[in-house]
Amino acid sequence: MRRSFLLLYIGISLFSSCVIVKHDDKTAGKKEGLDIYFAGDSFDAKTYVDKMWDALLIPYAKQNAVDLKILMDKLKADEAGTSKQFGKRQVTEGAPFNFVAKGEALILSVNTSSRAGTAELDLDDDKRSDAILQIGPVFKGTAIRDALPFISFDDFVNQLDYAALSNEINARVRDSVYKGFDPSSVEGKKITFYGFFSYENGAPVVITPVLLEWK
Amino acid sequence: MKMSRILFAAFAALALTTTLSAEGTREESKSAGSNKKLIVIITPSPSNPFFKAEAVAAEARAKSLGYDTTVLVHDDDANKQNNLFDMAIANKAAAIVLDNAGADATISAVKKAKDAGIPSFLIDREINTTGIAISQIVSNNYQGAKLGAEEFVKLMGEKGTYVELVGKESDTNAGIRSKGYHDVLDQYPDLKMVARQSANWSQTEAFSKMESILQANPDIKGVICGNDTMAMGAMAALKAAGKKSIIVVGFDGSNDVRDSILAGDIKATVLQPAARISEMAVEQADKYIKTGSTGLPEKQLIDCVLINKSNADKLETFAMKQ
Repeated sequence: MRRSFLLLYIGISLFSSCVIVKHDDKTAGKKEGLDIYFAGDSFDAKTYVDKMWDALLIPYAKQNAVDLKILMDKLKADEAGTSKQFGKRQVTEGAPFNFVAKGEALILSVNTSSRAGTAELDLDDDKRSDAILQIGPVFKGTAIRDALPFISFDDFVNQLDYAALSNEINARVRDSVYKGFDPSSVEGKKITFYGFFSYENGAPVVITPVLLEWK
Repeated sequence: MKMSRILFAAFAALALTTTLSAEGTREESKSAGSNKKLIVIITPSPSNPFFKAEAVAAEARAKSLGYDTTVLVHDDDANKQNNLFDMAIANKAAAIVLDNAGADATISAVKKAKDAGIPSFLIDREINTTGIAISQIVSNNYQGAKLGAEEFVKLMGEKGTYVELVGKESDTNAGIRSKGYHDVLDQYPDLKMVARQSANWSQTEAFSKMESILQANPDIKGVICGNDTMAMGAMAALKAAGKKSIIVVGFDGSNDVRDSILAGDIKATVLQPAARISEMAVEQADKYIKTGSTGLPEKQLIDCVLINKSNADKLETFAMKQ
């Protein structure tokens, strides 16, 4: 009984090592001779985002976005209450709340010295910056993923798949929301936007847009 | 069959004895005749202060909530972990708190405990399935790696040559961190990686690898490391070569790297809130034992915190002082 179990175990080990060798043969997962571990292809983030973007994400943003200026004032006055009412997060502690907001803004200035480019937004016509808009081409953060009530970490095999989703969402912002975007031509322009942000007291609000209209 | 089960139990007991004598500090605190419920805490070796902090925090919280505790070490060996689960089942544990020995290899052990009516609460690392553990309180290594990489990019001024030291290739977190680093770094075409080697989480190995990399690439501008012990090794090699100004970034938030940051050597690291994650697991186990539910989703991803000169003085044993 024990011996047959041992043989079975050895058999499984041999079989699984064959699988590992096969995986190693793939050059796509290799970088400088070392395996980029767990760069598996079981989860197709692109298809996930394709299915979600127009059908769920945009309708959710349109239905639930709060005016950004009003939301920021509320957060300043009562962070805990406003977060509970409008914010979302997956855990009960140790992470910022995430919000969906909308508004009209004047682009005061554009900073493209970093590839994580930004624009300063004036929300109330006082020619002073109230919030920051990510303009890419590098987009940071996970505010969009973390604000959506129909996405749960429980539904993903592991944190890499969950992260792949967020990366794909940010790639979609870059390739679709900012398609054909030229940062040199937008200073002084007005926009209407729907976007997401993670709120941290004392830090500027940084919007990742999902809908942008240039005026 | 019954005989083999007895043999198995004897083997498991032997494995425990080995653990106890090998570790010296491990102890079984269930006192004879105690009718307190038992929480079994299983982690990798406490020779890494990170895992020690986990075990210490879980044990302290469990005791403060009125439980007996047994602290065990699986040494990242899935077979050993399996034996420790058999022991926990034999000792009728009320709950198991586990930093596991493999995302796939652990599934059967946790399932076995579940079938025996013992709930498992996973900390730090996740397993590749849901529905068998009650909680998986996962340290978001990927998010932490992106934080560390974003700080590294800033320190580098978005350009220049760099080296990456990765952890043990078989370890999930080595892969997750490296992927998080590259998902950020590879978006900056003026950042060029000139060497990428594994130093197996080891300080001495990082020291010797860094020495030889420096000989081939004397003009590198930065080194990004998969953990703090490798960052310490790399920094020591750079200092020995008179290249103290090269930017070094680590991962974990150890007291050693905190001190190095405060001394102006290593520039940044990323704290995994190990102590708090352990406490949360015990608190959720307590709630589950008392009410049959934690009231929370199974998988909970806990964010890491960037540590640099601005906040390093608040870091103490894998937690931020309030």
